[in-house]
Amino acid sequence: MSPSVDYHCHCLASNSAPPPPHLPSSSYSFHPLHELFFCEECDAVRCNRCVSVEVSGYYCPNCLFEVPSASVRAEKNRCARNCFMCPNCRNTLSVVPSDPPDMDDGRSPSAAVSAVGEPPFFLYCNHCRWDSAEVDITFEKPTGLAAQLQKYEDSAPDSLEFERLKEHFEPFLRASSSSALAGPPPTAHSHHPHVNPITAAASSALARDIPGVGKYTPHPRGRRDKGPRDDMVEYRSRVEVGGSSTMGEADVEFMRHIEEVSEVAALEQRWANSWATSLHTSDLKPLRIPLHSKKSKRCPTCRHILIKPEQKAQSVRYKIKLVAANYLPSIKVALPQPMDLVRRGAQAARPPGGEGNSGANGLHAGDTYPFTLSLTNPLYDPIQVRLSVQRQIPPASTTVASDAAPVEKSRRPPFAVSLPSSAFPIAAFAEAWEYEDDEDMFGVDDDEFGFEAREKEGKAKNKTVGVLEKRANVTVVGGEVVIGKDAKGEVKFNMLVSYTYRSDDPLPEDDVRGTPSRTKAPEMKTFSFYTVVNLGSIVPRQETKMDTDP
Amino acid sequence: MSAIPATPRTKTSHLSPTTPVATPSTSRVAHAHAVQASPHYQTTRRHSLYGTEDRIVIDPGSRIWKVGFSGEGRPRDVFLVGPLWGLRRATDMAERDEEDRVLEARLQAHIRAVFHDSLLTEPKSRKVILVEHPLLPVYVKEMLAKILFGNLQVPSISFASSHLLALLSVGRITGLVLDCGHLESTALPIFSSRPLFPQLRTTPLAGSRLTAHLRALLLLFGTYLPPPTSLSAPTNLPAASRSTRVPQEVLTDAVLEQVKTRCTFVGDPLDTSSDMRVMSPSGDDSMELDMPPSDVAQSESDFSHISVDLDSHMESSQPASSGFSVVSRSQVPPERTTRGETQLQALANMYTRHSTATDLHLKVVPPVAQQTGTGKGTLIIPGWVRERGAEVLFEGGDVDEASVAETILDSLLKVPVDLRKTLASSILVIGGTSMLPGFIPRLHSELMRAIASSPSSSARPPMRPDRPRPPAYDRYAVLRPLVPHFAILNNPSPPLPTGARGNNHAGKAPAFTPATMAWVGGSLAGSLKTGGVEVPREKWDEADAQQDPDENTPIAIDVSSRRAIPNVIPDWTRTPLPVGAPPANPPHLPETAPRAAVGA
Amino acid sequence: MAPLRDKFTIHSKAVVCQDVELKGDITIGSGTIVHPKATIFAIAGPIVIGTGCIIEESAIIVNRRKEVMRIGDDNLFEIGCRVESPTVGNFNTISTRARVHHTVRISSYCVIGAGCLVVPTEDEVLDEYTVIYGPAADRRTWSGRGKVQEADLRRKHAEYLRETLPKFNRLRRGEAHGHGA
Repeated sequence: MSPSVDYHCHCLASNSAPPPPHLPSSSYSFHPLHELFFCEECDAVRCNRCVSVEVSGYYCPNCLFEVPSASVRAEKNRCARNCFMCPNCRNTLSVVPSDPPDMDDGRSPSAAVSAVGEPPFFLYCNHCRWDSAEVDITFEKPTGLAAQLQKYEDSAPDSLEFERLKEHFEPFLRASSSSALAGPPPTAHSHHPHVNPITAAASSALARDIPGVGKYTPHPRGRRDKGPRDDMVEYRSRVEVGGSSTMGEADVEFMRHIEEVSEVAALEQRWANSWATSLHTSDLKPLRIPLHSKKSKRCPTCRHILIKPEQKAQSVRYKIKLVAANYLPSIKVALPQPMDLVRRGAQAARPPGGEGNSGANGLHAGDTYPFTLSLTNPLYDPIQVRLSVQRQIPPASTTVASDAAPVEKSRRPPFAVSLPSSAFPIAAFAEAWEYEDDEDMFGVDDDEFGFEAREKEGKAKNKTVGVLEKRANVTVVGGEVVIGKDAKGEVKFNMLVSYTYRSDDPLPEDDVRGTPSRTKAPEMKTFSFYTVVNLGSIVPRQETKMDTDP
Repeated sequence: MSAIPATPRTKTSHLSPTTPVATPSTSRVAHAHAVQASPHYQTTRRHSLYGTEDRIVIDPGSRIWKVGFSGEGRPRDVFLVGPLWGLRRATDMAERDEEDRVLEARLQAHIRAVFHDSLLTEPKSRKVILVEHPLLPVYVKEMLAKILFGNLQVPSISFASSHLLALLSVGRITGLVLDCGHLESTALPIFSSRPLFPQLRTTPLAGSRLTAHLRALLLLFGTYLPPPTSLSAPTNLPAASRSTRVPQEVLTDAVLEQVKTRCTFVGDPLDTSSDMRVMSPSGDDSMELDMPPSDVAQSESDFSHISVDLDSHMESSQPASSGFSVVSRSQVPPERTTRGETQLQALANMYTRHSTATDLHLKVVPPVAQQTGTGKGTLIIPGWVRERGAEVLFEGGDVDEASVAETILDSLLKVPVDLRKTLASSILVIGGTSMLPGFIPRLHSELMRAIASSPSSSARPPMRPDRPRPPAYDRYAVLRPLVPHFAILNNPSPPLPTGARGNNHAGKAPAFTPATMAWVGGSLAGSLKTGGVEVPREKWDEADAQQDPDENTPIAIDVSSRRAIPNVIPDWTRTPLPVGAPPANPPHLPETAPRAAVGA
Repeated sequence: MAPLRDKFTIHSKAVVCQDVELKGDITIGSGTIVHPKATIFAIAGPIVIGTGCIIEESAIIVNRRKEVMRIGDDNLFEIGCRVESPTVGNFNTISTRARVHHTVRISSYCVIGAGCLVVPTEDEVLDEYTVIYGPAADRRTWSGRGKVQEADLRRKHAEYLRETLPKFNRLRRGEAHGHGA
């Protein structure tokens, strides 16, 4: 895994500080920048775990047909046209006509197949060559196949049985609800204020009976007790499982004698069937392709739309798009090439070959590594950025979970991170830069860059922390991590990023935390966010020794 | 009490005396909150727009979720969520909090996917029916509620018992429901739509145990053919000489899932006891001849334990043995032929002789060392493993781990006498593990066998051999008169009716699959505008708001505040405290105590 | 094994591009198309390819056995596939980057899916209409429905290539010319 930076979203939690990075659960609170949204109203980052999602349209991912929401329900969220998936390999099926009547095994050169094809049509998988005629599904017309199949579905045994069950229970519920109304029993249900007989029925017949066990004692309590419960008409199934061909002895025999695993349909191919179905792979039916939805997302607190796609299924554009990448500086982290390390001469003991092998991922215990963070400013104004490492013991865990505190302490990270402590500028974003060559971008801030270079030359060995490079709207800063002697695990730390920018419309209620550096305070606003920087995992010390000893 | 196999959950039932009549009513404050519906909710329901009448039915298992709209005969989507929770939680509080945070994050992702990806609907306008397993851990239930109400803002949640819903799906409101799922098999009697929770019985012999057992069997008795070492080699070694033991890495969860769901079935019961007696003297020379015949059953239950030990042992020894590639080894290395293993071998021999099931070849991803781009390895699954792997579920005799059949009978023993006949004649078997072909007929014969075995002829005394055998105790004697009445409603191969009475229910249930019955029942309840205790969001928000004041701030608080919220959520384990019970410390005690006992 | 002398017998109606690697005793039948960069090696025994086959770019056909490797008619060898089967029947499709070992004999109307490895250690004959597909090289048997249309399409495909390829590629012509043996 290469080093990465993810951004924190606190998802409306009262505490905006991120969880300590060593906890596995912390990974759920951090997201790559490109997945995040930014709510301008709340001035806050929002992620996919907290935004509220609305459907702004349905479409079939296969034929890109937009399905009106009225028919979505009836068609069970599936494409009602010609889109099917192969039950065998999940490839898309195509509709093909039947072969023309056999002409000496199809080899006569004159056998020009007519363009239209002749019925019956069937579905055909180009990948595994499954076809629907194998399960006796053929069509007279090559269009509207789903509608033609619908009749199979409507008469599926599960829906018929389901309707029958409903009819079976309806009178019973009515009876019990009326009795419940007649004499409300002095039990858990008495407090029901409902007049709605249905709801009463619900609770009387089905609500779990909490103190319950008293309930079935033969106290005569209204009609229900003598009445319908056991005398409730015995339900007669349409299709009894005992009489059906599936699931019984036949299946056991079939299983006993299969030769290939593939003869038995996989669980995924069967589990959505509520009705006892055949185990045989050869009996699988084509699947209608599930629809997708276009989603718009809203801020969970202020309800403002964060992202809204265009209606058309073919379009991949958005009407509204407030993505965090347009507001927060993007940060890329990199560990310098091994060559740099060697040149620095800090790790004389380690053979360069070994270093090359472990690559950027191998961070050796007991060593010091420089790393670079390159920050890109997406704003049209220059910003001042200040980085700091989050203090490692969050106040929460010490004050509250008293028994957890020692654990937290023992988990104190076995490495120390240094970052440039002062604020540094990043130039504004300008479209022009996207079109210019790299060389032209150097020297934007000439004198500072020159100073930087001089400094590098002067004390190359210890100058790793600080601003290393500035060009266009990118500033590269260096940091350093010192890894403890017997450290293990991952080098992962939370970093607070604060940036100060010139606000177009300064709002009074916005808290201005940043210390204005160069310009006048009132125009400046500061936004802070947390990130987690993952530099990679530590190679335990023993292995390094093994490398060096022989 | 000592002879009745008490599941770890017996603690739960201590909360209420065994005789239900004696249970006094208790304060129902919490419950009252729960059921009360707000007038607002009344009106929104009546005047709902098109389609919003349909509720969303979620059956959240620890591994597989089924989701869909009420009023439909099948779930819209079924998907694997991976084992989200297990029977154990970390004992260390900090660790547990962390586990909970991870679980909550995963649950949230899955629930959001249910609405946004599977059902493509907006949570704000949809009421939810949550199919609730009676032993769904309370902390999980609270998380589900918190996410649904908080993150997704659903208008209401109805909590409906999975066992009861399953009964609805076969058109009944009375019956004894056995749910053989992934973590546990749970038997719960339901009378006239009232679950008799105190009579609930459970055993950890279920899907995950079956998986572990299959893994152990395959490690011992399976064969693995690595892919050819090179494609260009003009001839490769014949399969026989390439075959090796099954490397641990090959048996990934996905492979085992394949084995379980596509290869395994349940054979007819073997008359183990007699067969072994005949066989052991003439059997393998390595057999211990002085093994008392009655110990056979013991060995069979050792089967899984030993194989579990072996499991861990293999893990440590694996690196050393991963070097082999073309070595042919005996399937069981000699250095580990412990007594248990000899017995295993004997069992294997016996099963092999009696199994006509075909051996299967399964393509598996080879271990990393063998990934030479030459295709997949082959795992050979012996036919008897396919047929007899599930024996572990029927192997009782352990005090803490009753067999699935014993679980049913134990539950039945708890039920008041006059209900036994009714319940015995309407047993319903649900849950994914019972989808194994042949499971239900086998369960029926196991029931018959467990009842029939009196201590004198018993093949499975519950005690260890080194202890003096207790005076003969005939556990199921009282149930014996009910034998002709036993009937499994959804038995696909019902025994021929014995004439007159009881068991003519057998096989009369509609042919819904056992795994989806609870969901179908939920859908049915939803379409009948009923189903479980409904908690509207207002209630939750109210309770939530009350909590707010004493909330100080940050992360760890998150956890404790969650602990405190949920008096709004109905929970059968909390309410029926007998009179005179010490006033429960509301947030902590009642909810952690009963459930923490589960695996601990 | 003694290297075979190069001997190429190419039917006058076959289209074999110049930039094709041929080695050994190879016979290519009428109407067969060999794209540039394809490789046909008759290492140990001769290779005989029937009529109407299409052999696409960087497909590799190798005969490691002494016996004659016979490839029937109207087969399609897609880009980057590698076939060493001693016999191949008619109307088979070997998809992109599939690999078929010399232990497998292919009958007719078989489909080897993209990227599938067919490398059994024991000799095997694929039955007619066998379809091998997917990452695990699953097998199933095709009903054969649609084969006429497919055959028709295959012929049109070949016909089109016969017209188009010569416009942009030099062709290899005639019989048995030596090739740097």
